Amino acid sequence: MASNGTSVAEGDKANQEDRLSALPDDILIHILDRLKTHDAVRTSVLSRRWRHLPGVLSKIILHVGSFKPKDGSMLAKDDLRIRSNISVIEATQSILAHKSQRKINFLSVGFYLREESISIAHSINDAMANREIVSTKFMILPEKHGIQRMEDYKIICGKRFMSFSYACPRAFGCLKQLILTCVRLGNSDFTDVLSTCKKLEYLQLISCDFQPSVLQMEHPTLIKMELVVCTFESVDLKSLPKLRTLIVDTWMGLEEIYPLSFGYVPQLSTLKLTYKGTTRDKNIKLSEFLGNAAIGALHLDFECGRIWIQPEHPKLLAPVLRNLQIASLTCIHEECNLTWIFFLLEAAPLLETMHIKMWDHECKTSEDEELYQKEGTFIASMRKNIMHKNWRKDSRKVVCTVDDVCKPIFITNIIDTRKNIELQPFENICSYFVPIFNYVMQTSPKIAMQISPKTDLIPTSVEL
Amino acid sequence: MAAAAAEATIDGGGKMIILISADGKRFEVTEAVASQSQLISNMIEDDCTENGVRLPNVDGDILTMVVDYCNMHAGDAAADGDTTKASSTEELKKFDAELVQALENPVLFKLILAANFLNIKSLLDMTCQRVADMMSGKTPEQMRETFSIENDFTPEEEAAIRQENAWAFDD
Repeated sequence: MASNGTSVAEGDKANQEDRLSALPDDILIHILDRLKTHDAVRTSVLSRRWRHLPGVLSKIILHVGSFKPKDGSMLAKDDLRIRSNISVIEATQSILAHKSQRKINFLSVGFYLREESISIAHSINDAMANREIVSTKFMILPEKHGIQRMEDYKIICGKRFMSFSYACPRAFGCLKQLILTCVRLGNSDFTDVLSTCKKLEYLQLISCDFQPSVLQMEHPTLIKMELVVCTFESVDLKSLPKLRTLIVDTWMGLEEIYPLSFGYVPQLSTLKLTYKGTTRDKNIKLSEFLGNAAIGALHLDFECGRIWIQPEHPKLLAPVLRNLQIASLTCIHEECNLTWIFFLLEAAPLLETMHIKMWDHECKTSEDEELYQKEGTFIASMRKNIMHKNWRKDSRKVVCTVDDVCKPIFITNIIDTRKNIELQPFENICSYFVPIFNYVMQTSPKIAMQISPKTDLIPTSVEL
Repeated sequence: MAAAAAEATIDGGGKMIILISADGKRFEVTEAVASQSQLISNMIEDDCTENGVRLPNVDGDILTMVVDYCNMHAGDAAADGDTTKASSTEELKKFDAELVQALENPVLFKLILAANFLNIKSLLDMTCQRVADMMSGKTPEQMRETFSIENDFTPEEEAAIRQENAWAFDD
């Protein structure tokens, strides 16, 4: 770079000049907003020029996990959490105490739901009396771990959460993301809170439950919702016009066949369900279950291997899978062989990517036996991946992979299909995967496959 | 660069305008290239680029870099869904990474000021990110050293500020 050469020629003198501090405030704030809030606040001691800049940051992220007391190693875990939480409270107070009128674009606070955390609500509410905050995020965590079953504690936390929300109505009015952990709430209380969050786009409930145990969702702006180990008897997506992604991780419905019902969710395109089915549950028929929702990406996780969906005739399934482009089945039991999986493939004409993870699949090759001996305990959780990209017959690319636990590794990589057909034989392939390759060959005879033993060709797994 | 310029011409940005740096260097660029600068884009709209655009705040060597950057990125917004875009995106990333890596005090700060004055958001973001990366994870002492910032606080004053924001100095 020629201009760089001239700058060097200007010599050390130019380099010694403090050009950073000479930049106007707007630019310095633009720079500080790109730093972690800790680093940005530390600049207040650089010189008088910097003294007040951290008070006018427009992006503030304070998360209890990043507050580690200096002498932390000496403290018990519980005390450490209390100390970290106090630091978050103090940080929120001190950073919002500046008498600035400047707009804050994003304020994110992650804290433990302790009695004293209410101070965070007060600081934010006071600041918002004379300063605009465009959007907020709260990550509300339980102070203790492994308390999913401590009912009393959940009730206390539920009350604390309600007090918190009443203490800063302004902050909830611009709340964009809410992560709420380990609370028990009255059903109508939650509905009230939700109705104050006019801008909410992301909601994650972890280990939460409601009384009565029904989650009925109506919200105009919500885009993504995640329910993680929540014990709702039923979840009714009554009206969520903007909802695009729903993740239910370990769905706990027991008695009802379909504890999840899809009402007005016209934009819902990604659905991820993880369910630890028990033998007394009936199997779900996707054609009935999905109703009007036309899912584009469907991820089903069978967790402990029990299959809770029922194969159906492609004609019945076709209407609900008409938009399906990505299908992902995790923890499919080995006994559900590939012919079982094909009912899904055949009903979805637009399917581009199929991702299958086996549950406890054992690959019978001598090399693997050695591996098993070495890592005995690992076998139980060993899983296999197969990936099919662009399943469509006119596709240009198909990639099938088997992950590196199963050796040898096979990656089939499609060469340009417009050229002459080129077939390479599969050697040493795990017998489990032969049918799927055969299926590709039959449905897409023009596809040429190449086997490569190199791991660096493995595509990253599908993000759902 | 030639390819990017050609692309811009195809895109209807064929009309040329002259940019004149503080030290009198002249740069002929297409309107499409120049209008990545919001400042110049507004001037084009107001029809006041006829006799060239004088940029009294920007030196020739810095303007060379800005024009290079804009030439490189001219096809950026234009080529929509084009298959050739994938490769040019790669090229752009490489170009940006090399540019930003080569930047050092004082050129970096001159370029920030130019990007700010000309109002070229992507260039301003990129250069500010470079400064942020240089500051990130450093102690105040290290930051002062990196940027030659003179500490004009008394030790007592500095201690008081540290105390005020003790949480930020804890780790």
